[in-house]
Amino acid sequence: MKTSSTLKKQFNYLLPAFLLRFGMIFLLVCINHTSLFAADNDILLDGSAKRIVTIPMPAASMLIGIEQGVESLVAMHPESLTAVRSGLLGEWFPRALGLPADVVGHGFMPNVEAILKVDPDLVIQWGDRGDDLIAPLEAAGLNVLAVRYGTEDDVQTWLRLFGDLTGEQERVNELINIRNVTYDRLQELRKLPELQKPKVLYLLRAKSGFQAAGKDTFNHYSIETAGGRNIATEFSGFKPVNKEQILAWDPDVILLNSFESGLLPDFIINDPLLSLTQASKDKHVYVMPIGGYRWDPPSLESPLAWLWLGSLFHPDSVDYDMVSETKELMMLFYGEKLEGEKASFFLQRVDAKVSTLQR
Amino acid sequence: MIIALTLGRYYIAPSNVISILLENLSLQAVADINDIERRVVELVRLPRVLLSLMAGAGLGMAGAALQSLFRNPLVGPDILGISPGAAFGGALAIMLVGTPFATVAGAFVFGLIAIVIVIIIAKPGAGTTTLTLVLSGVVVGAFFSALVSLVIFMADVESELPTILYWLLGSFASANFDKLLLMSITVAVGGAVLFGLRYTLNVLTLGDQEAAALGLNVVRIRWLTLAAVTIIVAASVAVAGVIGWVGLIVPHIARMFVGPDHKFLLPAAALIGAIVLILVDTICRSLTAAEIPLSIVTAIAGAPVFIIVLRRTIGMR
Repeated sequence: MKTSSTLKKQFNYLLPAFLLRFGMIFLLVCINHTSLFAADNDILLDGSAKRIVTIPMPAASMLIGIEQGVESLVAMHPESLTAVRSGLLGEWFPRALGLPADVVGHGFMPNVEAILKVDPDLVIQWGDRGDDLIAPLEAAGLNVLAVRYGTEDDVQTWLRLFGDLTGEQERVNELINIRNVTYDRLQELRKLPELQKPKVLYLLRAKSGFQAAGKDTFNHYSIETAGGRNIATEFSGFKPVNKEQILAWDPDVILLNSFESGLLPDFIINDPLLSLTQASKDKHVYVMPIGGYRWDPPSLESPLAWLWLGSLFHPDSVDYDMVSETKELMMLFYGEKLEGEKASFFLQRVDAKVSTLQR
Repeated sequence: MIIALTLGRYYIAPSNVISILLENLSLQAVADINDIERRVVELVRLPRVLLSLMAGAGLGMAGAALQSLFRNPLVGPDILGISPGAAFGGALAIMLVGTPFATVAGAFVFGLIAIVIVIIIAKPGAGTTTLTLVLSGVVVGAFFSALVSLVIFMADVESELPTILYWLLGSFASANFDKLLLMSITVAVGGAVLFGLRYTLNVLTLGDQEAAALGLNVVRIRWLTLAAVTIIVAASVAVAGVIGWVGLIVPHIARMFVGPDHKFLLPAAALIGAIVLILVDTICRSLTAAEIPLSIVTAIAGAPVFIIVLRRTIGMR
């Protein structure tokens, strides 16, 4: 089969790691530092993948965006479904709301029987969280694409692979291009002297104890891309911090996660201690918006998130209008117009001119 | 304690900390202290240091009383299943109810249930060996640990799970004056009961039969002691999660200084427990930008200390 062999070649070319199989023993050999590997280099597909199960959370919305519809997505992580429900994707693609989300158990451990029930020709799974998450899928004879996560390079590799899988390479090139173009557009903000860049703190958790984004997170990357200075660079990953530490950092801007329900800027601004930070005094406390997907983790909408952050950090230096940018790019990502109540609420949130307290 | 108040991630000159404290005592505003420093000391450090003081004192006394009651130096709130029981109760309450009061109540009730189960299994009486007691404690502890895992498994990944995990790790980061009040009351009540029993606890270390021969109601004393210990331990789990090791090691250190008489042992254990926990919490909150979970520090520091204490105890014999 022609497509099948082309695909295989592309995998061999793209894949940063090979998995050699000796009976039941899997041996993982890293041949370079790129960020993806197939759990098995014999992913056999008859043409493009038509029934895909996604376990990494942002993957579902990416797939929907690439195909501008719910074509090959057949099941997803429950967290992805929550995001579809709370964002705009549920309105635009109601079919996604009915897809099964029982494909994982505790953590990201796949529920193999639930996955077999939807009869997928490909399962996308985390590739950097241990072989235990992959082995049960392979044991059931499923094609597994294991992906790594964290950097912009990883995101672009995901997109390229998803493009190959669905035969939408051209569409994916367009989506990758807009990421690079947007990154370049914000170059002037990054060139500003360090002291003109606001000190920014991203809180992955706030209500159940504070957790800040350290230096190797995608949130750090987004903040720096938009001409801000991530203030929590003493550590990597997401770590719990106390209020006293936040006061010592004294951030100019505080970004709150979109995950915790009912989390509003007031939570910081009205806190007896955190109200003393510069961010609270200036009311520069914002909740990350949810468009099609959440804007804090990487997604198709990252370029919009960067533009939004740029407009928050440097309102006087940016020459674009967030509302029209958002309308235009959401059309490019999902082929849908921002109309209706939910969409106008979303537009209000991304419009930095609206005071934080009204959100 | 004053030193602990001067340390933290937000730098405040020690002289200013003292001024702020004096200001509170004299109710006279002192100039040239900014509002941030005042609030950091009053709202962050003071409740936190006082809470670790009360919890440390309580756990020290609870451990000392338990070790005497069971005539076993290896017993601690962790080993007897009170902590896992309280942890389950608190986690369950976070999942089902979600209010701070429910968490405290849940932790307390299940801490008590756990110790009752231990006693039923071990049937302490003439024939009970310390081994059966510790074994039943381990079994009950393991059972409740499994239930905690079950709650974690069933909790909503988005909202409840982070709260439960954070709470279980043990931290004084959420210290406030309400929690301080709860801890103070339970430690005051529990501590008073234990201190009231100081002579009977001395007699109990001789053995249940000997104590009964001296006219003591062993069963009643046992229940009273366990109730006092349980409210202290359950309250400490409720306000700060599971804090391992403190209740086990502190009594040994105290015994090294003042000997086994509970008249001196209980106050010494309270004092040392308070010092240890203030020290540990100060490390947790000020060493790195990221908060270090309490239990990690107590276990890392506790294991070597326990070995040293054990060696010295053996050496003395």
